[in-house]
Amino acid sequence: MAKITLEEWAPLLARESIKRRTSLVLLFCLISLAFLAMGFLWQNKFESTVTLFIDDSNIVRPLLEGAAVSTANRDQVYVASEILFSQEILDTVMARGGWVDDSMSLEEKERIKEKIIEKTSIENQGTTLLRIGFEHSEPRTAYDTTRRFADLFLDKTKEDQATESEKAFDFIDSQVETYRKKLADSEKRLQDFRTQTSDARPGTEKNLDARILELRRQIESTELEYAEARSRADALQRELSRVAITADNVYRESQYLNQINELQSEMNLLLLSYTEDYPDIVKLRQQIDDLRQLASREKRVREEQARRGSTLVIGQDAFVSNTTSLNPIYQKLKAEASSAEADANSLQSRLEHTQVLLEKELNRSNKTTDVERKLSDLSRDNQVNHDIFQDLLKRRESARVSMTLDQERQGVLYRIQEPASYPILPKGIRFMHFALAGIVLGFAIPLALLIAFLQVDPRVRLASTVSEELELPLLAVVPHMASTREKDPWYAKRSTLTALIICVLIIYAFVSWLKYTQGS
Amino acid sequence: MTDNRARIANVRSILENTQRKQRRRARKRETQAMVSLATPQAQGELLNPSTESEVGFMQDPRLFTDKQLERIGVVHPRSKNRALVDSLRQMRTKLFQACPEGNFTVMVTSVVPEGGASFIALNLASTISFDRAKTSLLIDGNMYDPTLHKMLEMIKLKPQYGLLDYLSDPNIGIENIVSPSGIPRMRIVPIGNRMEGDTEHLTSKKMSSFLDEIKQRYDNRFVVIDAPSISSSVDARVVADLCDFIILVVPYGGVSPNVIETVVDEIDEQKLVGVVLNNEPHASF
Repeated sequence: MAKITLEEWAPLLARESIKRRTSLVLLFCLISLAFLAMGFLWQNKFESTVTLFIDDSNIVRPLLEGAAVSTANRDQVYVASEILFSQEILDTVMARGGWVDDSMSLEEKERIKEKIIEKTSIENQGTTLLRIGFEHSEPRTAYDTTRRFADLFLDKTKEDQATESEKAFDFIDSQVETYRKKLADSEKRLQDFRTQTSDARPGTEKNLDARILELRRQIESTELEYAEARSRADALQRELSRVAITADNVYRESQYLNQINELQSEMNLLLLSYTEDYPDIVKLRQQIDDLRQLASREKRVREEQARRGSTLVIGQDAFVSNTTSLNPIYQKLKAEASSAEADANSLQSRLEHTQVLLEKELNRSNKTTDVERKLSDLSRDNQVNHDIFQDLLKRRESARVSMTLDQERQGVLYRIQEPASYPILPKGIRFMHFALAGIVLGFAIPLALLIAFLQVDPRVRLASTVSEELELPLLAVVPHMASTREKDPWYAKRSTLTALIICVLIIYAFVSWLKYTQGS
Repeated sequence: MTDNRARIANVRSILENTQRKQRRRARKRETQAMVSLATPQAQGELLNPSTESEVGFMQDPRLFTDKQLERIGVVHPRSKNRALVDSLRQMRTKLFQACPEGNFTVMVTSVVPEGGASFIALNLASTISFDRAKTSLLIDGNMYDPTLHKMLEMIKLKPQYGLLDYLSDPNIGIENIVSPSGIPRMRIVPIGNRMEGDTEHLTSKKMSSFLDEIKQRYDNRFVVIDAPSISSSVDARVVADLCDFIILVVPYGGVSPNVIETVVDEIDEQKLVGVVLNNEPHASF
């Protein structure tokens, strides 16, 4: 790649352009004529637009906000598209625009519809403006169609709104009537059921549950008390069996034991001073042994009596010897044991009675659950019907207001903010742009190609390449000498190339004149 | 292994190139220094009246008219193409500055065939003869594409012998091959009749003595040899050894710098007096 400085570019380009003038001029002609042809064949697009003002800010609506069905937040472009591209409006536009006739097939008509939809643009401008545009190669058609679209759209929206509100009111009204009947029916069924079933009272099941709970608590409490009383009676009985009925034997035995203790003390005292074989000590030991034999004999007698069951019941006739008397402990225990037995029997009787009551309440409760379920179903049905009915009543009133608003044109209204304009200039690029681009690019593209070529081609064209890059002494740069014998071919002659450029310019002028004559 | 060899070869090549460039720079500096010193002397020689009287004896039987010269592509002092005349004069002056003492023999060769060496040689000889105190002798050494005989035919001159005849036939003298050119103070030696073994004649001693003789015969005669392209013929290299200077013609937009470097490597750089960028297109329509 050649290194070319900025100073060298201008003369180099001039030289190379002259050298390759034929190619450059031919390229210029080709490019400019190609653009001219494109521009001539380019279909101009004229667009006519109408701007609608979406008026939903009337005085009444804020008062009814939340009551009536609001359409303010709906996507206006979507709504407008739905309306504009409805079968009815498209058919009318096509018929009035003369796009269709009776001889056309359905497919052709559909194709035209698709084209119309494609050429129609709907867009929001801010929140309150809606812009409807239509493109066509004929400005008159674009203008007429846009105006027609706007008129039909306004008529249709007004008509649709009124119809829609009326239909909504009728529907809600019919629903109100339906639910009124349903509500009356459910109330009647509830009433009949309550009449037929005595338990069908509110709170019956709750009371039963409380009663059952109380009885169960009583049973548990009584069971505890009974167990306690039974345990006490048994304990007293066991104690009674161990206590002697009379106090004689016991007394004598205790006398013997006391004497033994006294003698033992005395003997211990003597043993401190004397030996075992001291006569007093021997004597005391013999006395103690005798007393122990007597005490053991008394004990055996008492145990024999107890084994034979010789008890003495207080208050009953019994034989009592002179040497015997009733044991007071035995008497007291006997009285307490009788009392405890009586308490236990009483508690057992109460427990049985409470269990019988619990059984009865449980049976009653089973029956009441079914009744309660039926009653609950009927009440729920009644409540649901009641709620829906109330809601529908509100909605009916809202619908009535909406219907009235729409009938009196108080709902969302579209007004023409800016009427359809007759397009004077085509939209987008047009012939003039192509023509200018042809001239400019006709110069620019060959020049760019030449620059690219010079940038890429490594062949020596500059004195600096020899002297600086190759570092060789440069004697001279000899310009081309055109000898008199040397002649340019006819196509490279200055006159030919100038004529060619003039021809292109004449063609430009002619085509431009033709285009604008046709256009006007 | 192969990589190392390639790397060594590459480094060697870079070193050689660098050395070559250094030699060129040194020569360039020497030439510039020489030019600055020699310029007044060279200027004086151009106006030397004695030399002028010496060349006044040269008689031209027929001269080209300006129109004829333009037709055959030779500049003349009255040429309207001032840029061309000026560039050739500039080349001539630089050449004289490169060799301020006495005359010289210069070979004009092109980097590639059809590079314009004949045009430059012819016009260099013509430009030298612009000066009334100097004469030029143009030798047609391009045996593949000789041009001078065509020029002579235009002025109804048809020399019997030429360079090759002189070199091959001992009976033919220098006076038999030097012809008037139709341009004042300029003589030409056409290629002559071609025969086998021409290249061998160029290397002969006779060729060397021929060049010495024609150079020394007149102090103010400058010998210009039109040689074939150095890249396509060995003749140019053979003749280059016999000349004092070499002018390398590079056609505008014809070769890349690599080609020029290759050609420069093949010739003695001490003799390379300079490069001429030939046939630059005009910048105006």
